[in-house]
Formats: sequence, C-alpha cells, structure tokens
Amino acid sequence: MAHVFDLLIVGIAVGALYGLLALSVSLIYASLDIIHFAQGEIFTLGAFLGWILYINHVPFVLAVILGMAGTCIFAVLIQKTIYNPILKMSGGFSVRGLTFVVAGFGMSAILQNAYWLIFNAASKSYNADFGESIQLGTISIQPIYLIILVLALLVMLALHLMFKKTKIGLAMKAVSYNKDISSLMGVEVNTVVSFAFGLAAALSALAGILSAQIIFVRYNMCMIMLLKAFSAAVVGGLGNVYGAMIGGLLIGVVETLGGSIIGTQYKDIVSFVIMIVVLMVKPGGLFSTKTKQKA
Amino acid sequence: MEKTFKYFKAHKDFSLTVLMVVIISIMPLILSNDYFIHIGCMIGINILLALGMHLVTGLAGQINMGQYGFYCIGAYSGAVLTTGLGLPFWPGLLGAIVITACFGLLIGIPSLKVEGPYLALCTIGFAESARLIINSAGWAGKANGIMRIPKLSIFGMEMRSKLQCYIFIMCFAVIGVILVNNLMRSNYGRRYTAIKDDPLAASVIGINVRNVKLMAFVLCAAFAGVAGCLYANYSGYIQPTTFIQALQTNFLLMIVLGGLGSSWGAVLGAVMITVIYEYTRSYVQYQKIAFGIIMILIVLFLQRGIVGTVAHYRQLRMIREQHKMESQSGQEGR
Repeated sequence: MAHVFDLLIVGIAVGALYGLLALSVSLIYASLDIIHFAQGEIFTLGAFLGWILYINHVPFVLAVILGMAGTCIFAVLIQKTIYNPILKMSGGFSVRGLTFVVAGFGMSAILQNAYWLIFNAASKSYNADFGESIQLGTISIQPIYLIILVLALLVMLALHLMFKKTKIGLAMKAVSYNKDISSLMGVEVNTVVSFAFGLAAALSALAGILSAQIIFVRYNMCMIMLLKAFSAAVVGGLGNVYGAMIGGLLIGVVETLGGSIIGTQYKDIVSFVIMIVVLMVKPGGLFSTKTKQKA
Repeated sequence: MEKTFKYFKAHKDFSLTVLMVVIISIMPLILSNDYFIHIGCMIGINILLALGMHLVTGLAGQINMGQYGFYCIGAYSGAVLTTGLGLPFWPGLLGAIVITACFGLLIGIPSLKVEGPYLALCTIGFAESARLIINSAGWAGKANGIMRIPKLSIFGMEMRSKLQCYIFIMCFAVIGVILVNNLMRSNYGRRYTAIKDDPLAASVIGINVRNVKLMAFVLCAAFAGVAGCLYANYSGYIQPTTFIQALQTNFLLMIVLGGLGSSWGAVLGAVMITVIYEYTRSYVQYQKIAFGIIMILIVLFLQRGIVGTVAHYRQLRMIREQHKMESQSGQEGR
C-alpha cells in the first residue's frame, strides 16, 4: 500500500509538471489557434537559465523568477519576429495547418541544436537543496514533489483569478473566441497574443526548472516531456486551461501506475495511447460538451 | 528531331523519368567512389520515403509526422523476417510491406476524425510508441539492434558490391516514381487532390472520403515499408537509434523544399536533403540548425517549394502571353 501511495505522489507531481507544460501549449492554442511544436525548447531554455543561475549561487526562488522572465522575453521576441509574419500570411501551403507545423519543427531543430552547441551534450545535474525528506508514518516524501504540487496549485489559482477578475483575462478569452470581433471591440489583439505567448513561456520555464530537479538538464530533455504535455492538453481539450492541468495529472498518475504494472520501459507508451484514443473517441477532449471535428 | 523534342515536352513525366534513369546510370561512372555510391543508395531509399510522404501529405493533405515510425517498422519487420524466420529477401520484403501497410491502416483511422496539427500529434505519438516498443522488445534485440541481415538479392543473386546495391535500390526508386506519377494522373489519384482541397465538396460529388484517406495512409506506409526493408538489407545492421524523430524533420523538409503536391518536388527534395545530410554528417549540430533555418525560410519566402515556384512562374508567364495575344487580336479586330 505504501508503495502505491509513493507512486501516487510521484505520479501527481510529474503530472503537475506535464500539466504546467500542457497549460502553456493550451494557452498558445487558445490565443493563436496553432499547436506550437517548439514549446519544448522554451521549456529547456527555462531549465538552462535556472541551471546557470544555480551554479552562480543565486537563491532558488530568485532563479525561478529570473528564469521565467528571461524565457518570457525570449519567447515574445521569437513570436514578434518570426511567428507573427507567418501567422499573417495566407495561401501557398495547401495543407491546412502545415505551415505552422513546419515552422514549429524548424524552430525546434534550431533551438535544440543551439543548446547542444552552447551547453555541450553532457547532462547537468541541478539539485537545489530543499532539506530532508518528509516522513509521513512509514512513507518518506521528497520535498521537491510537494513544492511542485504547491506551485502548480498556485499557478492554477492565479490563472483562475486572472481569467475571472482581470481585464487581460477577459481580453484573452475574447481573442480566443474571435480575433476580428474582439479587435472591433477595442481589444488590442497583438498585445494580447504576445501576452499569452509570454505567459505560456513563463509557465514552461517554471515547469522546466522544476523538472530539472527530478531529471537532468540536457539539450533534449524536452523530447518525451513535450509529447506528454501534448497528450495532457489533448485529454483536457486543447484551449481549455483547467482541462490541461487535470489532463496532466491524469496522464501523470495513469502513466506512473500503469508503468509499474506493465513495466517501466513501456510507461511512455501509455500516455501516447491515451492521446490517440482520446483524439479518436472525443477529439474535443474529455471535458468538452460536444464532440466536433478539430481542424 | 523537333518532333521528338515536342513529344518529350508534351509528356513531361515520361521525359523526366527518362532523365532520372539517365542520371542514375551516369552518376556511378562519374563518381565511382564507394562513399558516393553509398550516398546514392541513401538517395534511393529517401526518394521512396519522400514519395510516401508526398502521397499522404502533399496529395491527400493529411499531415503525417510518423513516417519514421513506418520506416522503423518496415526495417525491423524485414530484418526479423529474414534473420529470425530465415526467409529469403523477397518474401521478407513482401511481409514487411504487408505489416507496414497494416500499421498504415491503423494510423489512417484517427485521420478520419482529426486533421491538421491534431493528426500530426497522433502520428508522432504512434511513431514514438513504435520506436519505444522496439527499443525495449526482446525479439528486436533491444538497444543492440539486429545484426547480420542477409544482403539484397534477386533470383539467388546476392548484391555484394555497393554498386549492385545502388542499381537494385534505384530500380525500386524509379518504379516508385512511375507508380506515383501514374496514380496522380489516374481517376483514383485525382480523388486525393479533391480531398485535400475540400473533403466536404469531395464527399458531395461521390468520393468515399473514408476509403481514400485510409488508402493514402496504407500506400504511404507501404512505401516506407519498402524503404525500411531495403535499408535493413542494404546496411546489414539496424538499431533503434537510427530511427529517431530528427529523421522526420528531414522527411518533412524533403517534400516542403521540393514543393508540396508535386512528385518531382519530392524526388528533388529527397536528393538535395540526402546529399546535404550525408556531406555534413560530421557537423551534426550545425547541419540541423541549418535545416531548421531552411524550414523557416521556406515557410516565410518560398511557400510553394522549388518545383512549385517554377511551375507558378511558368503559369504566370503563360497567362501574360495569353493576355498579350488577346489584346493584340482585339486591336486587330477593331
């Protein structure tokens, strides 16, 4: 029983990380109607920034904030210079949605190999000290898992408040519903889109720094992570912020428990199968009210 | 002389195929080094893969990001059938085609429900799972891969030298090109384009969208299966790290660089990308960054691809000339 509880804690924590990355994928999808395939590299950038600050003896909280800010600025720069012209273009590619898939893959290849050139291929360990593991009866929990959970909850709370109470949240909802009408209503669409992109990058960076405490910092650390985040976002319904987090938790728990049953080498496959099945059965995600074809 | 020239101009695909055969047969005479011939073999295999991508993404408009999964399955099924079960090459090839085609059918099913980036996610998920399963499966030799795969052979004749392999593989590539070109011109092949342009309109005029989408994936997978089986038997050794996601970037770049929706674009893209890829192997990181930059530049400035841009300008010129002729005749009439 203790074993299962242990797995559950790990699953929920890892799921919260997937959820954070899925949140960023979902936010970008909601505001831009695209799936950003280079979001994993943004996540890696956050981890690298955090690691650089860590080896320069910057305290953890400050490192997180600076890493998020740096990644945010970088992502907005990319979005303004490269993605905006692509998004404004029309025609040419006759396959719907392929334009941005190609751009995303290209950007991902560029950034990933740039990290390799800058930081070498060696894995870097980044274990900020969080003190002793916490004892709960017979179970001991690494504090990092609790920190991840608390931070994920805080992020969800902040997002919830932002969407419910602030003007920018309302503007984001309007933009994700219809860009033309919201621009007619006086919403500055470009600013809102950049804000969503930057926010998504900041969340990815947070996920990157936190997952750097569990896995190694490496130029290709995002490869599996991003696909898991996509699964989580798809399970929750792309564009649905709460769904993304719930989907992440679901994927994390199912994968960890399933992995312990059928063998850990197959645990990555579980989430992909979940994603494919959800796409086939309920393309709008588990929490959508009506099933529709996603374009 | 002029008559033959006119004939070639009228039958563009035929003349280009002849040109391709001529180039294929001349190249080993000029570049007889084993290394160049190896690059030639890889070009042949990549042409087949790019043709598969062209069928499903360029023609039918379904984004397939799992080509490397089909390639991997093709290579492993070919290798397991020939080494594990001891079959000769040809039955092994047939088996590989059947197995990959079945997987193509399986991956075609989500394409009935989702499209665009969602399908890209689906196919990546499939290919990554296939690679992970093979990476940890006992029958596939786990991470060590499969060694001592029998050589390519026909009628009991083994392809011992690289040159023989090159000719063997190129035969397949040429047959593939002819097949795809004929398919594109056929009644059945035009359905693919119809579905890409508008699935709803296509279904209204009586096309069975379901069947055509599934068939596109089956054909795509079959091409990848042939390519994978050829690769396994040509190199004699396969391992899971060969079939990584970075390959998919190359396949995507091949069809996008050449021009979406044109089979000659796919061939041209395959040749260019393979040559660049093999030549810059020692600078992997720089090469991948360059590929990424090329992809973004294509999206920004050359959306039609090389062949597509050439065709577009020719069309524009034709329209301009027609306008000129019309305005001239109009003036004369007045």
